[in-house]
Amino acid sequence: MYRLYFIAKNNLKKKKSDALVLTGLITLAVMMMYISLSVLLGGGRMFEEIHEKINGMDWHLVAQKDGTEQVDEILSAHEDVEQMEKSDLLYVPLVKYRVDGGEEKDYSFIFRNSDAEDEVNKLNTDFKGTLSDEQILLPYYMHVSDGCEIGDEIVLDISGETYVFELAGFSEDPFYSSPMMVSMYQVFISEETYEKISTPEAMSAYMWKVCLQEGCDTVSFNKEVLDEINRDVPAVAQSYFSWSYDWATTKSATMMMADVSMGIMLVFAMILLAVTLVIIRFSIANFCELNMKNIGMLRASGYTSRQLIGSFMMEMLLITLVGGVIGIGLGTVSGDFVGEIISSLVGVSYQVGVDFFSAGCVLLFSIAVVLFITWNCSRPYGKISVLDALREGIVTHNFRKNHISLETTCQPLSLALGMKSVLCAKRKNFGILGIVTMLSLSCCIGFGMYQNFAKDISYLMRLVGSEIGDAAYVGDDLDELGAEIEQLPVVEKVLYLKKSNVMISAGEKEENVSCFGWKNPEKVQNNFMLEGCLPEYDNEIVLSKLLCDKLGVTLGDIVYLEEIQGKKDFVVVGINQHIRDMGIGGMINYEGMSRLTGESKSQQMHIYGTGELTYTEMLDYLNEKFPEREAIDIVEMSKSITGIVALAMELMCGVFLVVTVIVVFLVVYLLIKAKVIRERKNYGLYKAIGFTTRQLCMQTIMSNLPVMVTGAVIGAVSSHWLASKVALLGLSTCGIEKCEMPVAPHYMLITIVMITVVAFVIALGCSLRIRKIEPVKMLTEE
Amino acid sequence: MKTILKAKDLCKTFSNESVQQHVLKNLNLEIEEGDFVVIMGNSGSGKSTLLYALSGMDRPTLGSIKYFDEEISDYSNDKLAVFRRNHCGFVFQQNFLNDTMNVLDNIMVSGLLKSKDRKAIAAKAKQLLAQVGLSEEVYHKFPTQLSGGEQQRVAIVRAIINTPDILFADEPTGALNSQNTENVLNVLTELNKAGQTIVMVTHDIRLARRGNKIKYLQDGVITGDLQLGDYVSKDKARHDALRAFLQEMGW
Repeated sequence: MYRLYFIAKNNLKKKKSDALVLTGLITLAVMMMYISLSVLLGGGRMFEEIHEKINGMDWHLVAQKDGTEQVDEILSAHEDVEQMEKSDLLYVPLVKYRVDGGEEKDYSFIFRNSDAEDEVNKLNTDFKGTLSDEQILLPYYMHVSDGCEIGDEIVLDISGETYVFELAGFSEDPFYSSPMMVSMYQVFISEETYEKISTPEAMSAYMWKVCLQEGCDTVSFNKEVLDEINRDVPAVAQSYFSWSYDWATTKSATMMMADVSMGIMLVFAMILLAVTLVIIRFSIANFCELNMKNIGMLRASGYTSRQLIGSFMMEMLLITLVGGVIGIGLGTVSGDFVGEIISSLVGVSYQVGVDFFSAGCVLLFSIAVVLFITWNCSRPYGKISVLDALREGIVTHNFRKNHISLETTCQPLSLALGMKSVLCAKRKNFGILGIVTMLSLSCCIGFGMYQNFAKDISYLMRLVGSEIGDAAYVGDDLDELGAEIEQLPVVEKVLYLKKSNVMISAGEKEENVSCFGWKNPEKVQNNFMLEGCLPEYDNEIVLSKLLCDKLGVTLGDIVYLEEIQGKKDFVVVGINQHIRDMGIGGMINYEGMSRLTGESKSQQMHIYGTGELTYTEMLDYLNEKFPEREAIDIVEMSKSITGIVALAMELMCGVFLVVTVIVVFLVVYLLIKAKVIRERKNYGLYKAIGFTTRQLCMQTIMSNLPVMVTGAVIGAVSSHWLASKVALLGLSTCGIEKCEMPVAPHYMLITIVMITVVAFVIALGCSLRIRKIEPVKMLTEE
Repeated sequence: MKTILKAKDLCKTFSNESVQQHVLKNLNLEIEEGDFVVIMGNSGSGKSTLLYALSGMDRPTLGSIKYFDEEISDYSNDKLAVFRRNHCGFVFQQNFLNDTMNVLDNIMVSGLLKSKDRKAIAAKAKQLLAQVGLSEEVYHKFPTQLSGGEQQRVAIVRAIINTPDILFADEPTGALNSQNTENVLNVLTELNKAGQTIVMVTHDIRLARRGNKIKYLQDGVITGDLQLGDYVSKDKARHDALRAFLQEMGW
């Protein structure tokens, strides 16, 4: 073993820069793999810890107080319920808030009494003591997304009343951690202030918090108990502000963005590792060709091919160990930074500690693949005969073809000689082409994600399936107001919505879903139809693709919806897709909703302007015109969700760009350096016969740049077809079947130009080594 | 005859951290058009260093080198490259042919440096290949498919493709067997007869016999100079004169 170590150590000394580049790449790959794996494996654990600490609820329901007494009985009677508690809360659909004199924002809030001594889902905060009347606890998400700090002044405007608070601390409740799951902020205030806020505008509601027996499936419980409540408690089914969530769904939905981001990072880390493996191959080949005589000497003095291959493997093992340990170290050191990013995505303080399991897995995996590749590509050199090696000899040219004959070509000399080099090393250049194509493709996909999901959120909202008009209203008695708004010259259309939680069944299969009843389905903007048509009659329904799959129905099939008016049959006339409600939902018209619930009073109203006014002007205009009802800034509210997505997409795009630049840098650096070393005698000769350094540099650059540019172009152009497929793959779990993620041509161009410029600059920088080549020394050296 | 190359007080010193090695010491030399100058001397006497300094491949430490009236010793690297491209041709002991290119391309890569007329260069390359005794068969062969002598003749054609004013040769037959050596020497002699100025470094008396001026170098200084007439095969007097000269020089 020591013999192998001895040869490996000496080999490493000879190729310090190769070793440094490979160590750098492995460090980067291992770091990214370690971070992503530890978040993917540990994210859920972190939520479980908080859940356990606060005796977290496994299921909860929020609904108005009136007419919901029966919910207590249903829950108490359920055999799976271990503990049940009912708490008060105030729901305010529109609160204008301002943090420390900053910009005013709108959002939905639920207010909780911090003095209530809850047993289930206890208040989880870093604040010690009792809140004074002027103090407030905000969700931790507002710290990471809005930059709120303890001590800040928080001004809340609730129905014209202004309340000024001092931020005393942050609360962490996994159910209300980020707007990804429930689009509202849960805040805690003192009992006295709570009473003060309890006005008719702030809707008083109950939160039923349930802990289930160990081993109970929370998703099934949700389905089962909601079915019963919807059937027996109409006040819940028809209330426009009732919601319920179970622990398993909440956990996975809250972690979704973090998991998707880390999943992408993991894939990218794997690509980086693949690039490293290709470079290892080049490195071994270059080293062997340059040191063929030494290999011959070792073979002549009795080293077996096995020992030689072993020395290469030892060498790569050392590099991987060093790179791996540094990568894991850096991953651990950057834990705070990563933690902050994850916190901003999930809304609870996330600490990436040392994860020995992930570290071990990543290290072992990296070592295994590196050793395998090293073994595989060093075998031919281990097997070379002593005499061939001493004659410096693997014959690298196969005499098949003299590529680009100088006699006939019309290319400039530097380009022709560069292209000759490209064609002489086809296999190597195919490898590089593959790497650059992958990088360029990932970069364009990153740009595509940024363009479609961060820069312009309209397509994202279409996929989500939520309407974003210029303004919205929520509440009862909206129809009269709507009729007046429709008459305004600046208004193009008004959409009316009534939601209902229904049990939908087909044969023996049933699902509890949110059914959206639209007054005018044909005007709905963010309805992504896959096939069929919109509901025209009162017995027609459009189902989401995922729901169709779950129920096993398709166009033309009959499904049954159960609500206050009993079980009603509907014909499936259309299939749509949306991310909202985890991809499950139904869509009917108002006549259909009347059949189900006996009435069709609108609960939500979305206003679309003609374009004359900006959305803020429209809000001001409506609030001035109808001061008794406040219009909701739906664009601002949706930013709480889209903001998270945008942040994740921007981060991913940034990571893709940085890693692409690093990899192109390393690949070009290594290739040009190896070429200059390997062909130093040729360069010496070329200088002797009159080539200038500039000509030789151009020739060297041209031996790599065409491959780089071709790879960049192929990757960028193929993103036109592949980007949508990749996005679809990521969103397929939410039932998305069609997704267009076009990459704008200018992003493709930026990618191509970026790769080309980086490759050119690095190639130029590295090829300047040719300046130092002195023909006399090269031609006279042995 | 006009002086084509003139070295005056030429010094070349190699130094590393602690040691300075004076290889050429105030050396003076003139080469006239049409000369076949042979530089001889023991190993380490500075023959190759002198050749590389004269050809602009290396820069002298001190002194001047004039190409006609043009001082080249203070040229920049790129200017020297252009000088070599336009006025010099080189033949080395190793042929340094690029084994990824066929014979024709190995020659054209040099020819295209000076002229862009590919057809003319290709035609000239073929004509010169024929002149050095290489048939059409070798045009598209790769260097490793040729014998050592053939490779060296290709290297000579590469060196003269741009019609250099001076052809520099550093032990051009050092790696060849006797038959191939003879072939290469015949080529050089023919070229000289056609007016090509040649400066050749060797320590082989058979090669030296081909020159018309012999310069003997010892410890960086030319210590002897012998004028011989034009080369005639089996000229015993010429051989004896050379042998006597070398004996006198302590060869």
